[in-house]
Amino acid sequence: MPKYLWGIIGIYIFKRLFKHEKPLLFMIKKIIAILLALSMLFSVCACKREEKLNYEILGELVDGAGRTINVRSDAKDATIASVYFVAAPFFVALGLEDRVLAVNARNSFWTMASEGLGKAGTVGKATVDLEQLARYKPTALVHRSNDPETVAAVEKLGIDVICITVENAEDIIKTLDLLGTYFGAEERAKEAKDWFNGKIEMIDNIVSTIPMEKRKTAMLIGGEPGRVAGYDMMQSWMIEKAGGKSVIKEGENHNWINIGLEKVFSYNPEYIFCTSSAARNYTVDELLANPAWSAMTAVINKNIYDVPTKLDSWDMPGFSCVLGIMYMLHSMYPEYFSVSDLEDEVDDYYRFMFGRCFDKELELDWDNFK
Amino acid sequence: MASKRKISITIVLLTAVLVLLVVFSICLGKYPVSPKESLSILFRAATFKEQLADSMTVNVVLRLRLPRILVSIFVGAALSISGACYQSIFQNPLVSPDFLGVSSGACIGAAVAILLGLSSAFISGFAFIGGILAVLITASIPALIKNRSNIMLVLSGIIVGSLMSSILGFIKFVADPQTQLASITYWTMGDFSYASNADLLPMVIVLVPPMIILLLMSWWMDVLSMGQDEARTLGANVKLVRGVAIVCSTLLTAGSICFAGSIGWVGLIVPHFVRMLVGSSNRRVLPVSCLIGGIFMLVVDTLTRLIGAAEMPVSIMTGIIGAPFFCWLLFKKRNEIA
Repeated sequence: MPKYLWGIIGIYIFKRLFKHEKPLLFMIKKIIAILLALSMLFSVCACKREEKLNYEILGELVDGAGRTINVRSDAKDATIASVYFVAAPFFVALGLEDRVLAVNARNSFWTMASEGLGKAGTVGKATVDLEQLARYKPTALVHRSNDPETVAAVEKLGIDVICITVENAEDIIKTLDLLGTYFGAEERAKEAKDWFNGKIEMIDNIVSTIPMEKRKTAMLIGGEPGRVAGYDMMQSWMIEKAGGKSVIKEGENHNWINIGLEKVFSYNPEYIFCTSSAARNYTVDELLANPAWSAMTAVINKNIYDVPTKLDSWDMPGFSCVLGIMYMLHSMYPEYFSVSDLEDEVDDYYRFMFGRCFDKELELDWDNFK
Repeated sequence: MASKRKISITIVLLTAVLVLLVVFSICLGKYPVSPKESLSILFRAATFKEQLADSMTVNVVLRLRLPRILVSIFVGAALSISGACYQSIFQNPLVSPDFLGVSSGACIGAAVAILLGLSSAFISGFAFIGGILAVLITASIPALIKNRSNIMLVLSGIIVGSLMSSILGFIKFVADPQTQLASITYWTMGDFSYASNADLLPMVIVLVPPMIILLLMSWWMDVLSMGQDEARTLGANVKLVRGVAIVCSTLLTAGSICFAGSIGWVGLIVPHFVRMLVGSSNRRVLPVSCLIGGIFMLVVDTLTRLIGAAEMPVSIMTGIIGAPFFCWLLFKKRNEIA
């Protein structure tokens, strides 16, 4: 029986019941009947209409959370929303900025550098504002992998969800493939992958020429000096990729892990990098001047560095990690990768992404670069 | 006389336990230093002799462990004495040092500083100011509605605490989820990791005078705890005693929070435990609370330093220990409560 007929039956019962003036017992029956009628009406209203798909399904993809998502025939027109800050650089790398309806560009750089992202609205910061998302009605929400509640809620709105995980180079390539295929930007995805792989290969070639005995120990510290990038974090992988030896052990792998100052002191790395992707309650100068740190090798040799830049973090999981790796490579082995090499690569990255460079906006003073 | 002797023995014993724990704690940590070496470094520093150990080890013992131990003792003592004082003044055993909104106000101050990207010194300063402001608001509500009774102050504390929690929630909501939010959350859980020798002097200046004042006026607080009318009959200036006690306790709480973040349970359970040991007179409760609070905080902080690969925030550990301990206390006092 069609669902709307239930609604009609409900209204009929409602009308019939109200024709009579009866004592309390009948009033209770009436109330129950009214409630039943209302519930039937609501169920009819709330029932999802069986929509006919106005696109074809061309195939299937597996996203970063291991979910299967359909590849649509209208991929080239698909619009995007996201609250996941890691996603924004991928939209730019894939040339999808103009299709982004809402984005959480966590700092002004992305909205300033990309016209498309600058025009985009927002559907929340950490959590998705579902009503606002429904108002934008994007084709897909690009989201983090560890939030199944949001995924389920957004899917109920009839919006696809693509989960991404970005913790190493392999993840970056997978994400480029995934988003490139879903949004019909396969060619640009290939260009981006080639660019990224080319840079990683170049870094590997340079690092392979550094003798093992010259390799430096290093760690990357986060919001507080005792909180470090865990073993499983991209930042630790970046140190290894740059030819360093990450001092963080395999068991220490809870994202930003608070190992404490004593542990930092016991590791005593030759190089310390300070993140630009987290709010920090210290500066490099404060660490260098702190008497408690005075015996640390990195302090004695003044090898504590801020990973650039304040606006566009080079140690954030994502495409720009290439610059972070190159920065670490230059800091630890300037004889193998000079400041002018770094300058050229930074220039190449921003030109590849945005078609121009941002030295002034990012306060990159190459003449006095440290 | 016998009671005086008993309390003196208790204080001496607790002081000895505290000293032993300090020695024990200074020998423990994740940086490999043998107890012998730790004690040698401590002894040489105390006697101004040249250190024999390498400078890294000396730094770990004297510049990381020692200030951390001292700060944790001071904070534990301050929170406990302030809790005992509040419980006595308001004649309410469920009152803790942060019930006038100090803790939530301090958290707002710290959160604002983190949001503005300020350094740790500013975060502490903002936390202190936030805590004091919250108490001023709490104190002004009874004045505004012209009812200055204890119960009104307690109720306005609840109002301000809730309001401050909502404001803190709003700050967390607008904070960057990937960067600032984590910092705010960690700060509110309490931590002694970054205590330094530079903290000790300001800490002594902020915490010691209110502690001494409270200890000196413990007799008057005993009088006050009999009830306001009885206290007036005995010649007490109720308003003054209550005011000074609240100001000192607030300073102790705000000062502790600004040095170590928000730490729960200590100010609630330690005074109860102390009353079980030495009775309910403030002349005994306050000094013993100081010592036991210091011991408790030191033990908790040493455990957080040692357990697991990552250092746990202090509040988690005080909660884990405090909740079952409070249950045990309630069990022991069940007849009294009934």
